[in-house]
Amino acid sequence: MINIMYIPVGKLKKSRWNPRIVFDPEKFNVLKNSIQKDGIKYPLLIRKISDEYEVLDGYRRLEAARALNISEVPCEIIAGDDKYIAKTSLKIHLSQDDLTPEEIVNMVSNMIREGIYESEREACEDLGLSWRTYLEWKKQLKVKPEEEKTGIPATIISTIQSAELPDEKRKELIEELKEKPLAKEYVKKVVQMLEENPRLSPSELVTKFAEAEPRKSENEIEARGKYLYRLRESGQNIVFELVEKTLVVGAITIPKADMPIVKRLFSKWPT
Amino acid sequence: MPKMYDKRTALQIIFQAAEKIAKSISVKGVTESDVSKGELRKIFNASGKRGKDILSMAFRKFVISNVIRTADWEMIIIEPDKPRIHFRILKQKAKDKP
Repeated sequence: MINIMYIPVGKLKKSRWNPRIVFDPEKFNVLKNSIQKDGIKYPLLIRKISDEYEVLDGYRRLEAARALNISEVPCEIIAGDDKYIAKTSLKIHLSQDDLTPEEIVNMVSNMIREGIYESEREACEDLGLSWRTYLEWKKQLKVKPEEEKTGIPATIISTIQSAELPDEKRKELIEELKEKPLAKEYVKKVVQMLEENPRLSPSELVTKFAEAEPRKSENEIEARGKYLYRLRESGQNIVFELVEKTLVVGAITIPKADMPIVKRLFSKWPT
Repeated sequence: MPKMYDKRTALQIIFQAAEKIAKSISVKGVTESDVSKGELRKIFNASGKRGKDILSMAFRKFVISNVIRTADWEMIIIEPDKPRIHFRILKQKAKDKP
């Protein structure tokens, strides 16, 4: 028979055998909302350690309860040595299907270090993990993170990863950005356009935005939109030209001293 | 402030950061140390990058408890916003030994 007890949240702490390191803030909000409405439906799995208890499963429920100022939570107490507790905790979390590969590999390494398992192969057999999958995860961990691999900033990678795009489009976009780096604002626009219109090609969009990015040579700056826009120095003046194919279709000359005024004028233009 | 959307990226950033912190601590010849925002800025914000802010965001938005432990190191997040951490090397890599 399962013995459920209500334990004060202040007496509960995360077990070192709980493999979870990170959580999804969106899912956490959903959980919090559910607990606020219906309470904690499933008891936390805990172990008693002297005067306190450690949470083997249910730490997110505990954090949600803390956030909602709930003073006591339902718990099921289990007993056992570290070996039993560590294995039970990892098996329960594996069945929940939302641990990251990094969390699983990390916990298996911790368990080997503490003598719970002799080897990774033994761990995989006991946990029912495919050896090949485990090796693939380990390989991913040894691979440098995306930013170092691609040279693309982590925030841009994160924007792409969170986009609702098919995997092949994401990969194509990352490949293109390696060759043609774009400012984050442009990447956001590209992602938005790809989400809205799946027929568009990441390669073409990146090329289009990359051409819109101002390019600087010795005395000139140019950027491409409908025309090729070019700013070039000419004595005490700056010449602003509009070029179509190879033809200058429009040009104005601005005294260098007035450039701050012109800049300010453009900066005030609503985009 | 940069944005981050998924927990796996956050975890990869934390693991990557830990490697760098472990290396920085090893150079000083110690195995544990408090690492504050100034030092984190020095480690992560080289060449105009915003590594410290990204690490801080990973701590603030995604980390479930203030202690992260691997077979090689332990990180106690004292203050996620600034951030400030206590870092302990449990197993030193040969290449990082002073």
